[in-house]
Amino acid sequence: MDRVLITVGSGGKKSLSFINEEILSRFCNDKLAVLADGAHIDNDIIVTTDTFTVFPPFFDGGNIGKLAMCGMINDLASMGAEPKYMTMSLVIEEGFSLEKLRLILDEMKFYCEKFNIVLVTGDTKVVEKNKLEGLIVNITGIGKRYKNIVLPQRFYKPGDSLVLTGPVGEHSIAVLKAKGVINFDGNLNSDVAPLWEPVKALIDGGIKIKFIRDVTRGGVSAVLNELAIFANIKLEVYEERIPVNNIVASVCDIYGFDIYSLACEGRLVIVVPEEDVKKTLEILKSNTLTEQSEVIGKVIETGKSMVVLNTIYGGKTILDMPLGEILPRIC
Amino acid sequence: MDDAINLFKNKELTQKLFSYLKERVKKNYNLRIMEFCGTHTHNIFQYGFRYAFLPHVRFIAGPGCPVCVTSDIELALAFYLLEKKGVVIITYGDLLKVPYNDKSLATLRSEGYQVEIVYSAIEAINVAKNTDKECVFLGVGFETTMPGTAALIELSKKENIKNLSIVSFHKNTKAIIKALGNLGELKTDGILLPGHVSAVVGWEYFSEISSYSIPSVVVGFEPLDILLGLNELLDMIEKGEKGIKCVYSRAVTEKGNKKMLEVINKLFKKVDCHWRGLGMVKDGGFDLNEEYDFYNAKKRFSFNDFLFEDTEKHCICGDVLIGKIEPYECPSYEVFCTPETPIGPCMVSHEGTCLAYYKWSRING
Amino acid sequence: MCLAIPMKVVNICDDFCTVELKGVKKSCFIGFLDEKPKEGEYLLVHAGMAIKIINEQEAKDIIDELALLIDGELKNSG
Repeated sequence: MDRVLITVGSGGKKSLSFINEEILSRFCNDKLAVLADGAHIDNDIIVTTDTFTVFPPFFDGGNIGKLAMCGMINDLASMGAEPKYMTMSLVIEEGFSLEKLRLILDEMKFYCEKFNIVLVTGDTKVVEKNKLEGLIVNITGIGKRYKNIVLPQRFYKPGDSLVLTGPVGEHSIAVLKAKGVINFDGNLNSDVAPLWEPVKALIDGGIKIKFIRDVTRGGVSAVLNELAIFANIKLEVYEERIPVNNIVASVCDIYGFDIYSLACEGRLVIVVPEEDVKKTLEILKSNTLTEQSEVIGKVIETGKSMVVLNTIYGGKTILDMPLGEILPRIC
Repeated sequence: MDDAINLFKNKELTQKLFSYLKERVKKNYNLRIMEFCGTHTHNIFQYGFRYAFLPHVRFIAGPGCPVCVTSDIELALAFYLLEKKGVVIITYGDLLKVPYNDKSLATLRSEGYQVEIVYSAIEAINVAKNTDKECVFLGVGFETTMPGTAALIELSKKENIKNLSIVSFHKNTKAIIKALGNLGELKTDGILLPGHVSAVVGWEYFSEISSYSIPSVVVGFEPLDILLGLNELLDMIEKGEKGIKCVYSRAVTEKGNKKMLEVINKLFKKVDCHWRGLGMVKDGGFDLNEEYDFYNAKKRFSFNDFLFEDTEKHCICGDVLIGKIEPYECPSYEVFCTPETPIGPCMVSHEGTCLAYYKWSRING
Repeated sequence: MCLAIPMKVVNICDDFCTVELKGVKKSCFIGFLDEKPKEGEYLLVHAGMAIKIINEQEAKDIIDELALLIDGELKNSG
């Protein structure tokens, strides 16, 4: 196959294969090989980069500007870093509405002010009409490691607990609806949110955090599988503890989507030692953005990588790395 | 308390029946139960039932996966329309990644051909209205999905849509059961019959199964439905009963939906057709009746330079589909045929036996 | 091969009706049902098509039979 397929960007197996075959094969170094959300480059400086291509740029609960800022803040938070500086590249389709662009930029300004992030440099390009849909935003975030925390860690033990900070799939459903791939009457906003504050509170609370990752493309399945592969551990997840919004559940029933492969943009998976679970939940539940946090599972074994789901009916199945594009099905 | 209808996915009731059955099967059972329908295969895995009754009861996935049995010539036809006739292909999501000759609708889409995914057949009308190009809807699925294709055609007629036609890849579940039974190929102690096909056609549609002396139960798709179906089969096996019972009575009657059957008969005729891995099946498919030629893409377009290379000899999906072999007994399985590099639909379809086996067999590993 | 789920009828307009499942409403085609559904009834919906009106009484009967089976077993083993 000599073409790049859409599945390469969807998070999951195809993305991982692509990264291994095309990127790591050419650029491998020990920082990149971790394949974390950011890289620790010097002393306490953490850097992350991400490009946002969501179309349409406005959806229930947010827009591409909010998505870009929260995506960057959450990637840095996953590395235990406080956001400090950022760069921004805009690639805009000729003819894009200036009014809409201003709304997007104002949203980004709001988050810069809220988190004291300084935009230090950037770039703007405009491409001919129809060569691009809407606009693309790239953000490079530069953060400072907070209080010497080192993330992600490599060593886990049976009993380490998996915490999920809120219901899954809301962002995916909001965007699919905005795209017109699905349609329904019902209120559902994207879960997009900046999560540095709850992470900071956990670090301040002395929680011995081993792993944080924000749940994006590929959903909670992708994050748990990435963890299982990265750390070579077997995870057991309890389906009935995974928070799910009723509307998301109904849409998945109707269209046949796999709920655990749906993207979020304001949810974290956090691994903490068993003895820290109670305090972790207290801290998370005191922040509105993470108040629906639940312990959804634990590390069972080291030495093999697998994610087992204990179903709500008392059976077992495997939660596998999602294969790609979310598609409605009839079968 | 939920409406009774919603209780079929009730956690407590399901857990209780699950525990009961896990005990029950220990009483001297060593059974192969075939779930005919791919959605049953998917759900049995998803609910965590698949391995729960081993070694006493083993679920075998059957041939009822319309994506899995879509043949190479059908895929070739769809690709031909896309590549050579410049049409917009409109399809359900299920067919997007099914491969033929190293291509799929997904790869063709990445090359710039227009492929639109719909949830409902009727949505194809909106696609056709928004373009001047010819549009072709791929009618895949069993009898359950045929009313959707029929509605699309009737509504197109009513709204005078000129640039839309369909290709029927619809398959006949009754024909395949008959063909397998005649071959003595159904190696199973009991069958879970497809509840939603039955909702349309009635459970009497499958009455021929009685002649194969295999007890069968028409089953729904919620977790309680599947367990009720298993329970009923165990009752029938213990009592030596053959024939058909129905535990999906809230949706399935003996005669089915009369109007839908009339519509199916009005628009479609049975045709011999190729089921992947199973060869030519008499009356195995459906095509549009002559009076609907205008909507039949096979009549609207010429296929003079349509070339077809039969690659199916490399794929023994058929043996897997009828339960003759397990996926791991296929020489290509995991060697050449993997989820990333599927050879046949059994590996590409999300309910394909080989993909399901690949993903979930590791639970014991 | 058939993903279909029960959805409740909210309102009806000719050959289409609005159906609802826990806060999500969708349109569905009812033109090929043997009877016209009523508001509040459940339809079995497959790919935007109603393929059956669900019989609530049958549903209740099956649940009642199941309850007897399970209670019977609990008594026998308890």
